Amino acid sequence: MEEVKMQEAKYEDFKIENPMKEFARKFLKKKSAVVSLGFIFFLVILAIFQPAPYDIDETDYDNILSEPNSEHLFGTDEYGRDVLSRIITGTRLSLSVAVTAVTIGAFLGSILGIIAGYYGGLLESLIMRFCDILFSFPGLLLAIGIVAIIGPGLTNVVIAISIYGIPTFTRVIRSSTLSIKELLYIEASRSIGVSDTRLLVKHIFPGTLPALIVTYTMRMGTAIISAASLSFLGFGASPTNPDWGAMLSTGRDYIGVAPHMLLYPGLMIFFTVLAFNLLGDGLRDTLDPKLD
Amino acid sequence: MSEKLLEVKNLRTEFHTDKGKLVAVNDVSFYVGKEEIVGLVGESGSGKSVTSLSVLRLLPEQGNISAGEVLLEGKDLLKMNKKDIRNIRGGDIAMIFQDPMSSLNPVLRVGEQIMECTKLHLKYNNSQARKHAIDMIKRVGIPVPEDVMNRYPHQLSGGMSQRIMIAMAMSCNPKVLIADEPTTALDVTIQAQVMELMLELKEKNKIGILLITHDLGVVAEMCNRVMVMYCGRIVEMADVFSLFKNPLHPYTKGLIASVPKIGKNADVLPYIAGRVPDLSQMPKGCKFAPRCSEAMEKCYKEEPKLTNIDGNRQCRCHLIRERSEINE
Repeated sequence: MEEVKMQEAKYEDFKIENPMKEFARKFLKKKSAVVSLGFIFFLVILAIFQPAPYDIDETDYDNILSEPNSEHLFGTDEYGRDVLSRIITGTRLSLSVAVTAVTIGAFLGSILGIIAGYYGGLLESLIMRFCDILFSFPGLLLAIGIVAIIGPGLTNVVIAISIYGIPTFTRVIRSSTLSIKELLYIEASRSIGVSDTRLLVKHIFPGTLPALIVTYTMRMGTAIISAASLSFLGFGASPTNPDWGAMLSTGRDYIGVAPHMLLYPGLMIFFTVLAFNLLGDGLRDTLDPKLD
Repeated sequence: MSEKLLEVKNLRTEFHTDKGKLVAVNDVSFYVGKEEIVGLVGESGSGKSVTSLSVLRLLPEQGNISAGEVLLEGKDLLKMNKKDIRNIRGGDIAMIFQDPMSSLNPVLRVGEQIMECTKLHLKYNNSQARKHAIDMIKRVGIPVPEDVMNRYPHQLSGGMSQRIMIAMAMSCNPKVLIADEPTTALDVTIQAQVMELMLELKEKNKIGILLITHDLGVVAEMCNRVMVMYCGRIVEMADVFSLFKNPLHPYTKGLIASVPKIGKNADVLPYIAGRVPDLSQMPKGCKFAPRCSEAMEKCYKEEPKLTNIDGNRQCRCHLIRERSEINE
């Protein structure tokens, strides 16, 4: 009779891939997300180094409302200021408003969400009803309402956008927390005597990170639109600031004679928001293990 | 008789649900001695896991322990405050769960998770905890512990994960280990290795183990004493030899009969007819009566009491009572 030998699995058989490499490998397959990331990276470079060809307040009265030409690639506005330079300089404003607002919203929203999800009960009801109230206003209206109460200005725009980002994060993090806290490894951690606070910070919070990162990226797009809208409506940046929304607002008066004053800031907003949304989509596909 | 390490007295655990109050564990008493493995056997839904969770007060929100005592060397765990019970968990009493792959936190490195226990209970600093963790991983028979420390749980096989869980459970030198179906999710060769490891740890560390399982083969191999649970009640308790040689309760007989035997050709595997009744629709009288082949009229009316037999066995059945009465 033939002898059958059993072989135990060799230790080397379990190949390990560095998680970051694994992430990069999956992410690089998502072409649109990679291009978006490149574009966002480009925007960040613009925001940091501000390579504007002209000073934003430099007026050229010989070239008022001139169409795009070799001297002014995106044309000039009603005072003869270079539109391209104002757009490049405005990158810093738009991105920093969005980053600050979304970060504050994410921070507060995550804390509320994780508390609501973990402790449940009356606390959860209170937090979630508060979010429902915020949600019941159409998004921008809420921001306008908040600005109306605390007054116009960039700081207040940031505050308004953060407040209206809170409920989104609260809901996302709460639902993540709800599903994570039922998992066996949380019970296992409790069985070795881990305290509630440590459980929340060390064991549950990292599990919500994929959802948090995706929501954060998606909210960036929304925040940029909201900030631009508020500036367009005159609640945010003053028209002297090189804000994309404010540029649209002034350009509106010259739409017949100088459409480039609207076109380029508009395109900038469009591509930036699109890039953040596509990047968010790509991250979600990469970070969600169920989509493998 | 060995020294009682963990003693559970008249434990009663209830769940508050939409269907009303459900009693998942009813009047359960047992003890685990030093260097002893006590098996807890029963079908799914018989209250085995709830019993083990009750011991460490890890029940979900809807559950609460309404009566009884859980004594660890004489101290009642049910009367302790939150902080003290947290010190017991993972300290004096450790637990291993059914599915090792999902018992480890997927976003933390294995080493960090093993170190957490000693940092919490023995107040080790980072380097002490690290050394101890490496030592523990070596002891559970994993080569290259330094490498395993840096891995994430999904980079381990099932057997390795369960070894890690055992290393984690043993790292604070517990007195009692509760193993809730530790081998159910593993394949047979790994099962044998894990069981071997648990036996070894029992001998070396002189701990008591409460082994929850529905695998009678494992029970026969590992345990000193066995309890059989049905519908939240202990229906039979005996030392492992007597139980397999001479099962008294019809349910135990049924369980043993339904283990497939190698070499015997049977078209239909023997099984116990019917199924475990829903907790909200418990029959009156003996809970096993509707499925019992030897049920009498009395069984449907009156619930039998747990009766002592020969001093070291217990059984909850009217038949036993009648027989012993006749003998008297």
